[in-house]
Amino acid sequence: MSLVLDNVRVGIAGTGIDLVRGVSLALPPGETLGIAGESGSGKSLTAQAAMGLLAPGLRLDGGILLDGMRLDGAEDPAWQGVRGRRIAYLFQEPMSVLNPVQTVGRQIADVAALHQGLSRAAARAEALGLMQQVGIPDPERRAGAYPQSFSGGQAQRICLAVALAGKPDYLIADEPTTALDVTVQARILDLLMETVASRGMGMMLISHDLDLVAERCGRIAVFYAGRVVETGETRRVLSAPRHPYTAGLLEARPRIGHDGLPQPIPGQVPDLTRAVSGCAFAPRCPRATERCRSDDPGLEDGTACFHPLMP
Amino acid sequence: MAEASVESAVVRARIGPALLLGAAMAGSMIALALISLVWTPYEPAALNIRSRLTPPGLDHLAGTDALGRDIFSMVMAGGANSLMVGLSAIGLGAVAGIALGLIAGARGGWIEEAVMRFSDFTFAFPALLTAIMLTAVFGAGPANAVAAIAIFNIPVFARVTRGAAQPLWRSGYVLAAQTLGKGMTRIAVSHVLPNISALLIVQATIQLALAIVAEAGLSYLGLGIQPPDTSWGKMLNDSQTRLAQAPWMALAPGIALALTVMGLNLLGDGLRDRLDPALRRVR
Ligand SMILES: Nc1ncnc2c1ncn2[C@@H]1O[C@H](COP(=O)(O)OP(=O)(O)OP(=O)(O)O)[C@@H](O)[C@H]1O
Ligand SMILES: [Mg+2]
Repeated sequence: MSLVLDNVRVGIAGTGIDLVRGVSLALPPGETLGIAGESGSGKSLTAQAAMGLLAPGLRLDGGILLDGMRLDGAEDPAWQGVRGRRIAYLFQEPMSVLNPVQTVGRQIADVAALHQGLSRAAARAEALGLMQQVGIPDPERRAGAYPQSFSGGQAQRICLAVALAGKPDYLIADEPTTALDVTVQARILDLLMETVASRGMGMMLISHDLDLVAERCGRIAVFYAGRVVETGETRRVLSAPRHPYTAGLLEARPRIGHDGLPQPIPGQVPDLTRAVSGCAFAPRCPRATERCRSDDPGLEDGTACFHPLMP
Repeated sequence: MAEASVESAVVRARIGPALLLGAAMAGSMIALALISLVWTPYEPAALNIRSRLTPPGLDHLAGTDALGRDIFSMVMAGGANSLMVGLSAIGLGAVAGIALGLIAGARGGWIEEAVMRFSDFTFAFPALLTAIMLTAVFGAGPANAVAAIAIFNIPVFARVTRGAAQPLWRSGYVLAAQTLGKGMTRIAVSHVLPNISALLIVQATIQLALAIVAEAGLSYLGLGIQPPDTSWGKMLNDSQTRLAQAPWMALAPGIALALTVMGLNLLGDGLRDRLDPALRRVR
């Protein structure tokens, strides 16, 4: 019972370029897995691969397994029984994913009718219930409104209601609060955490903000250049990071009550359109040796490093 | 808001003078045609040799023809026939064209290529000439006139639909609908079509004007509406041998045709102007 990515690679079709370079993750139900990493590290591509919805022109290698059922290479009808019904997706821009010419109530009810096989009346009642649960006041009245009349935070609540309408077991939330006001972000995240906890769902919470996922998720995976470089219990990763990149990220964040300026990691993210030899982080790594530049460190003991930091 | 929908753009649209004038012109002709279904001043087909070729006056508002039929009544009833042919042709053409345009956009690849080549192929023939050829081959009559006109509307609607829908297939809410497990047909009908419907209504208005002209052309040549029924084009044909003697025979159907066609064009253009911000977005 879990959503498993097994050595997933996402590349540009017809070229040797890989943007996601062998990611393995497991998400059991009831668990929250945080995915953190800089912009362009392949977080969204990994999430889209897990839904079988890569943009045309991208190629997928590796396995996607849902409760042991192989989904990679499955046909559309098989995927349609999974998307929305088993795995739901929450986007960064709530406004652009709601249909501007359909009332929000109808958009929630349609999904409930599709995946739960409810009648129109029952689906509508379900939609009102969901709106209540995600904290939309006066659902009876608001159900008849169009997305444009909602604020960003409310629109993301509606998107959550739509996502929940198929009673999915897993939720992939890709930067669900990045587009929202800072004051709204925390409330939406709290709602998300409560919702998945009370329903026993497994959630993948994606953010470029390590602190954000670390505060909320039981486990985290740190992405770098299309790879997981470190993964494990959040508490362990924060208190005793093993990969020099994770350690660098932790140093780089501004903290209250700490002396000294945050130390950003020197250097730049590698260009994945060129072949990477050895460890992609080696050029920026203070611990790098010859071996790091020539050999590829696999993920072992929760970290992909030949010279992990040991407490 | 940048993401203003096409529909709310229509609702918010101020009604301009062109739009109003167009609606009044086309609307009054359509109203007369509809009234003819239940009432006309005289029986449109009733001959009355004693009052033949009467000029317009109090008894016969638009005069009578060579057989003494009341021209005003004939214009009303003929309008109903012209509109019937035009609306059926646009209805059929629009349904087939919109479906093809949506399939082309949804499937892409060789299916899209095939639909678009079919459109180019149909466009390459002058519409009216081919309609004449089709009715000449398959026989004159309203049903064949409808079919001939409909065929030329299929590529028009297919192209407009595909073009307007193109950015929508890559929009956030289509992607979101896919993550919810909705199939392509469901997405096309419930997410793509409603977002381009206003544009399609504008196109249909303008195509209806063209269809009515085409029907008039076919009937004028005797290939459309058949006696004892009449239509504006057929009345124009009847009038031509008596043009010097009884010009009113041409005047009434001519005015009715001109008002309807100009009215529909003004209406369509007016709606299009109102939609402009939204149009710029879908382009
Ligand atoms: N369809 C595509 N074709 C080619 N390259 C792509 C495509 N989609 C994404 N990429 C590239 O793949 C890399 C990873 O993209 P991805 O969207 O997964 O990053 P991310 O970790 O989600 O970043 P962000 O925090 O900015 O969302 C980026 O360099 C991006 O430019
Ligand atoms: Mg992303």
